[in-house]
Amino acid sequence: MIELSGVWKSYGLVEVLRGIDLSIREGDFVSLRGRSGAGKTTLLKIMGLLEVPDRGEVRLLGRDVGKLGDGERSEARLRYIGFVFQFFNLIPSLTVLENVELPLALAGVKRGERRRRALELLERFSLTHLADRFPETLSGGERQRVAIIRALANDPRIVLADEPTSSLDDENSKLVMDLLAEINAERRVAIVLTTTDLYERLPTNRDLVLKDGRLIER
Amino acid sequence: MSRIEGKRCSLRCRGEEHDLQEVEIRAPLITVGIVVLNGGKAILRLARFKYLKRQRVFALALVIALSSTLFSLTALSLASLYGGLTAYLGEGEDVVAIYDRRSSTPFTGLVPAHLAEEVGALEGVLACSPEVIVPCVIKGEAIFVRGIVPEGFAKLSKLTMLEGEVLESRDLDCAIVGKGVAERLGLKLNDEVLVLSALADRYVVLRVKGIFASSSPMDDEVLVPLHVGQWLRGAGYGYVTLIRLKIDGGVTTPSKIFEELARRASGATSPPSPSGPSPSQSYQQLPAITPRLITKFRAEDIGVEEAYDFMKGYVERYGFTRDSLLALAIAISLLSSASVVVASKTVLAQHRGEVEVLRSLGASKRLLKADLLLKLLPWSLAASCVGLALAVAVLAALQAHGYLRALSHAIALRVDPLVVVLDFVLALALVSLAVLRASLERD
Repeated sequence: MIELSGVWKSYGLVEVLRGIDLSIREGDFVSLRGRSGAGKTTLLKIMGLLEVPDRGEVRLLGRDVGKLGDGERSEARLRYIGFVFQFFNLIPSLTVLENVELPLALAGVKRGERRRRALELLERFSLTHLADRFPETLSGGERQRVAIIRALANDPRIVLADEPTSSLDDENSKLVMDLLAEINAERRVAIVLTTTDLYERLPTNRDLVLKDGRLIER
Repeated sequence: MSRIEGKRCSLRCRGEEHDLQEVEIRAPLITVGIVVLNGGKAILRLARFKYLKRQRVFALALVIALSSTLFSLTALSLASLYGGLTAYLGEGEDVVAIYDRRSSTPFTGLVPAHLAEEVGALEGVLACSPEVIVPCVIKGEAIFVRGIVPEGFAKLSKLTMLEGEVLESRDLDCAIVGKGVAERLGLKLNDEVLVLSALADRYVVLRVKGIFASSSPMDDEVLVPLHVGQWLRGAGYGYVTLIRLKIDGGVTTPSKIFEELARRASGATSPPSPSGPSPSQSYQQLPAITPRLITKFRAEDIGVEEAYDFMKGYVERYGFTRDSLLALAIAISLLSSASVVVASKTVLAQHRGEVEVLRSLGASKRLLKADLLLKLLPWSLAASCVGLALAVAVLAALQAHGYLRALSHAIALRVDPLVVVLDFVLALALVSLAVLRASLERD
């Protein structure tokens, strides 16, 4: 689904990624571990077409995305990729329902239809009661779960989650992780999540470690 | 529906087959149309989501409003000053001034007084007003006193008597005062005022015969009979400061009048006009300026121009052009522009999180920038309107309290359309520039 071959990325003189080769297949549930500053977010952004590698090739569904312009990359992101960030996930001035509607609106879904689909998603994951609330009134776990649901709005083929549980307590971390596992199992959506914890037990089926700009599969 | 057969292409649309040539012409237009339409739809879809925090946008609007106020205050006051000075003697193309080219100010020149009678008799000259303008001191305030021939003056400048009576040439111990002067100096009808000349060691005591309004800078002047003005000027009864004329543009022009004056300066006389009144007839129509002194003059010392151009020439002689004033206002506004740009960038930086989320959801930079412009530009426009209104209100208040003056004349507030346009354009351009140049990427 997503293939990276020989990907290099540096910021100034610091080489963050040094010849990364990675292939994410349908239904994969991948944990990407690494210390803070190891380049996990950079790798995730390259996979999510938010950043361009200095060298190397990125292929999405067999297509080389390196030559695409920002508009086409954004379109590909809209159709195939869902993103979940560590901290700032939901837009504070929009309600939960509007946040979930947002990717549908970008995809051109009409108002009534997108409202119906957003409510359906919230109902499916038992979060309908939060629909009219603003993010600041939600707990950290609720925010992250809403963010994950929003990432699913356009039926993506892959969800990229950047340290989704790092700011949550154990109970909420488990809820979020269970939700990701459920989505992976039920929808066959590939999930790549990053974590700074090198030893945490995660319900993933592939375990990668990013160290010194290189990727090691455990 | 399209169909391609080898090199031949046809398009079936609504049951009609269109050939290749037609498709070649229409296809790019249709593609562009679809792209524009889709882009517009996408922007409108995103426009419904108010992801910018109102408080932050309001802060930007506040900066724009203040910046706009600063620019408008500067530009409007300078433009009003310029407009007030240039329109001092009249704005119409039919108002012409005969003046002393050698004079460094519009108020200190000397033109032979007898030219008024001669020029007044020329064909196409509808009215003639010889005038002496003297800077004086009345009740400790600098006031311009204008010596006039009331009959000629009335044909060029419309005065409305608020109190008292009109001035007559024989009222040698009287003056009529503009309402601005009356208010400023607290003058009432029949008050006696001591008028001290600033150009000669002379004074005169005059009785206020009337108070007038003119809706012009003359509201800040005192009008006296010509001879009183000449006395205060101290240059003799043979001279006036300038001669204003009202002409029929279809019959004569400033250059024709100048040619005639040049002929007279050299001693020649023009042939009598077959249709116009004879010089002797006109001579009788115009009140005689006594004692009549015929003074020699050189044509090159006399200027004949439209009154507006005459004043404009003096104003611009000192680099005080409309363009230079606007440039000055823009230079000042550039300082405030910097704050608008910084405020715009701050608003974008404050919404970096929102922008990053939207980017991750699939919003392209172009779409985001278009949406940001759609959300910010109406605020910018509204803010610059508020700024402009505030500037006008401040200037109107200053004017009402008599603080907006030039050469002791109140300046009429003029909302110059160019300033209004520049104000809006600057605000919109600066915000657009900040948005369009934003990288929309986290550093």
